[in-house]
Amino acid sequence: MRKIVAVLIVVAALLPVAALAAAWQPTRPVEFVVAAGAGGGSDIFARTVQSIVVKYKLMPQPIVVLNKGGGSGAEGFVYVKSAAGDPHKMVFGTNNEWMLPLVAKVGWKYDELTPVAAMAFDEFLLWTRPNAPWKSAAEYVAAAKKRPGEIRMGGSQSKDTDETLTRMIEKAVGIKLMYIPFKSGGEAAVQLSGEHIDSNVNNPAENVGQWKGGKGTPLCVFSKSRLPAGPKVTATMGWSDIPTCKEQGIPIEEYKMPRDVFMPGGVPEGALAFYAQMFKKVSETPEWADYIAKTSQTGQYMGPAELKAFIKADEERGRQLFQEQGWLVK
Amino acid sequence: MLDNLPLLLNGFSLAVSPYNIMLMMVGVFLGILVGVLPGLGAPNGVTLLMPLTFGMNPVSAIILLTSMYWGALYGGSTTSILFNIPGEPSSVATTFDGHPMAKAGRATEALTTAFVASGFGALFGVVVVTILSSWATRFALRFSPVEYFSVFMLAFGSFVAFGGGSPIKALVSLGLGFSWASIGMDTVSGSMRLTYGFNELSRGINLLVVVIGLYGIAELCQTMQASPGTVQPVATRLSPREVLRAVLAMPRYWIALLRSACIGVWMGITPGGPTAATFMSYGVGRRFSKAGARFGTGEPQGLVSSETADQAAGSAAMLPMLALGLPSSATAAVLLGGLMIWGLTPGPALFAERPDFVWGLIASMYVSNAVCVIMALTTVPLFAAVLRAPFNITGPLIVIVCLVGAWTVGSNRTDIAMVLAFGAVGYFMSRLDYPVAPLVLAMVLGDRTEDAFRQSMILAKGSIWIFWSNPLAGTIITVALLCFALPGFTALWRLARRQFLPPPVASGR
Amino acid sequence: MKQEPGPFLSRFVVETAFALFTGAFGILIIKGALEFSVGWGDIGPEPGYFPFRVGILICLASLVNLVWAFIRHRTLAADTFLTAEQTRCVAAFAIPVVVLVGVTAVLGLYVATALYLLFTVGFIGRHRPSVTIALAVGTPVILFVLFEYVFLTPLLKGPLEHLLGWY
Repeated sequence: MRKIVAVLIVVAALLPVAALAAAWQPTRPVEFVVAAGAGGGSDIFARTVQSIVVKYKLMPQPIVVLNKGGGSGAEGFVYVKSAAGDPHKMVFGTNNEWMLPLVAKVGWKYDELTPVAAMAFDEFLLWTRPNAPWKSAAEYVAAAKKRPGEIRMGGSQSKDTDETLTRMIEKAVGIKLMYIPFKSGGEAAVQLSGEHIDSNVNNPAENVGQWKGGKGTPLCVFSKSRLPAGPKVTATMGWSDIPTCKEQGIPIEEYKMPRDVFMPGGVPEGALAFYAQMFKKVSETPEWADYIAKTSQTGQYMGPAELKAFIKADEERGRQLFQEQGWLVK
Repeated sequence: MLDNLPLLLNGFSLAVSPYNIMLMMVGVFLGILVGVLPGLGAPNGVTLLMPLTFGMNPVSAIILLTSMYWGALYGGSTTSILFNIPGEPSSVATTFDGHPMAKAGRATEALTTAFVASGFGALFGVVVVTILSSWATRFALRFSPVEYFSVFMLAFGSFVAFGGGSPIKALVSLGLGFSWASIGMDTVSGSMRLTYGFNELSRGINLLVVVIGLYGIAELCQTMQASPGTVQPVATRLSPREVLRAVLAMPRYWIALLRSACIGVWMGITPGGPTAATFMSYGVGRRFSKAGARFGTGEPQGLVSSETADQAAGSAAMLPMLALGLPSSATAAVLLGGLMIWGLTPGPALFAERPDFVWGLIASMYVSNAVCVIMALTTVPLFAAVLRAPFNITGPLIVIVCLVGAWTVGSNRTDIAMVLAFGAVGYFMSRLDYPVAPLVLAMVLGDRTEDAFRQSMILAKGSIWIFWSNPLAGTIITVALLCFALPGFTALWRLARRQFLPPPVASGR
Repeated sequence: MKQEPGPFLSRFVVETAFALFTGAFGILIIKGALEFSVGWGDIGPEPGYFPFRVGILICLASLVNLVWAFIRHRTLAADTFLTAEQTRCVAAFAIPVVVLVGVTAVLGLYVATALYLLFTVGFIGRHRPSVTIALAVGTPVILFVLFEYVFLTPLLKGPLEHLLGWY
């Protein structure tokens, strides 16, 4: 009996400490807003996080996933921005959170949302069509130098990640490409395998199906080092056999697209800490590792402060590049 | 061609297990349910079911999800016919003849005809997929923006040019559709167009919101005004014998069935998609069918034209989705995301890499569509009975269904108000004899046509002769232009005949 | 249509009004398109190219419709668009719907649905109280179960649901 009382006293003494540690908890269903249509990269990202949170019971409230992909994701960001102070809404996106306001008239500024976490980085590769006369990125550049404005480069959307990278390549090696914007990276991949365009700069997951079927070949990856070796994708090659673009003489150190989460402005510190911690736990599960491997991304967690600094620097870089291209919106 | 047969048989052995058949029935049932509720629809339904499938084996998972998709297509036709509310964009053309039939007390016949025609379209689509899979994939690969543009023009040409009514009013309707479609992000230039600084417009205007207003709400207004106060419930015969009679009448429409199925498969494999297929099929039917003059007044062949093409396109579109990773509808885009999560890579290699999955899916399409037709037919008396309720109860309920539908499209307050605005526009348009269908077609294809044209211009550095640079695109665009010119030719022909020939004895034929 | 006494709106008025409406819309489109260049650039049509021309097309077509309405003034003016009775019927349907949309924005879909059904089925439709109550309560409940639980798609909620802690 005395023992029980003692235990109770200890528990009672510990309670405030426990309460302090778990200071903030969601009290209503949490909305995961996806700044992209159903089935896209950001959608799969959000739904994977959802399934992991549910599986490991990382949150006491249910999750509702909403797709708001209108206007290249503007719909989702505006929706979350207008819910300022609401700690039960967050938006899943990419670098379009800070890049889109630079080039298009949209209803939010990049610092009006609160960065919570970046959970993965999607790689970019230079792909070429089947039966292309060039066999390497170096030969591709040489061919483009000989025929300025003739080599066709396809990509998703205009003034978005794909065209940005294309313009960076042009600037880095002094060539001129013909950029053709499509609705999605998937569409660009199909155009590549039909040999209607010469090249594209898709993410691994967007083009791997074509690569497996011999309908498109990777030339190089825009990364500091080669991709991790996995099982072979085709009979002869795996991801790690692809040279980096720097090796191939395209001086672009690295180009990656983060998969990140934002909350509205003015949310309580405790809420921010709670979700950041939750996403950190998600990023440490085997299911997450599986998702990263299946989509050939790089798993890398960034907390709120780190992500904020990253965005500030990246936005500055983007602004400079867009200034040169004359893309900045008034 | 026939070397696919053993693969298909193997597929059947995988797909046809009691467990999978049960999944099909669950999927079809849920599909009909989400299809009946406008706005929720197939893409949302499949998205919601997706997390459940993560632990399943891919064959069972895709069977569940595709069954839901087929079910939703059937359910979408139901509301189109009974209440003039298209549950899916692809069932807009179903309202043209389906709803007049229901209003004339032929709801049972209309629903039955629609379901059987859908079943035929699906079967035709699957057979084509089975026999021509590798050829069709190679064919689809030949489509660059140049060919896309030609196909879209063909769809416009075959629908718009064959319509009647005031051409100037049709032009206004087309113009409105085009301008609404171009609101929001412009793919080719990356700028926000026609938003006038409103955040609400930056996401564009959703087709379903427009359609629920233009058809659903506008139709309600019309009904309310037509017979003051108490609208009499429509007398509908409900006996199963009525269903059977309608089924037995189907073979009479064999020409319409075959023609529409072919158009559907063509639009499913080329990038047109199901919605454009229904319009094109309806337009061609109106021009070339003997019953064409009665289209739009409750003619079963009109209903057959749109429904058959819809399902044929939906099934055939599975091919570019699996073999190229190219989604031709919103639902296909969601399914593609699912493939990735199940660890499959859509693309040319999928057929060689995972024949069990591909052929399991194709085999399941035969079975699940049979399940669909049977389950849908059993619901006919139930749904037709709804029309017997007094209209001052069903009317308000339809209003609620429209508003809920508008909300579920994008969880957005403004959509609810917009449905109302479009309802008013639709009411005035139909009262003043402005055709509404060209507007919808322009919204479906408008921005894709503009994109394809501008992409082609980038490729060609501004020369429009690129559309005749290869036989495929050249043929399609020439046929499309002929379609546009056809009304002019017929008018000239009539004029010439009147000039040089004595007037016919009796007017008409 | 029945020939009823008391034409309220002539077809001529509505025809001209709608032509003016579409014309105004066309001007709006032209204005929006002019925010961008509307020419044919070195890589084909600029972003404003098609909207600009579509706007002009709508304006011209609206003008033709307007002129045509004036030419056929005599026939159209004699043609009834809505009789007084029909106008009353349409208004009796449309005004509650407009109010419903307004109330939805404030009170959420569930409460608005209940109020709307109470009014239309009970007050306008003159159905028995039992039928009215059953519909007004049953519909939101069915919607709630169907959307919140089966489809996991939350509908628009208002202060009542907030008070009950559902959202």
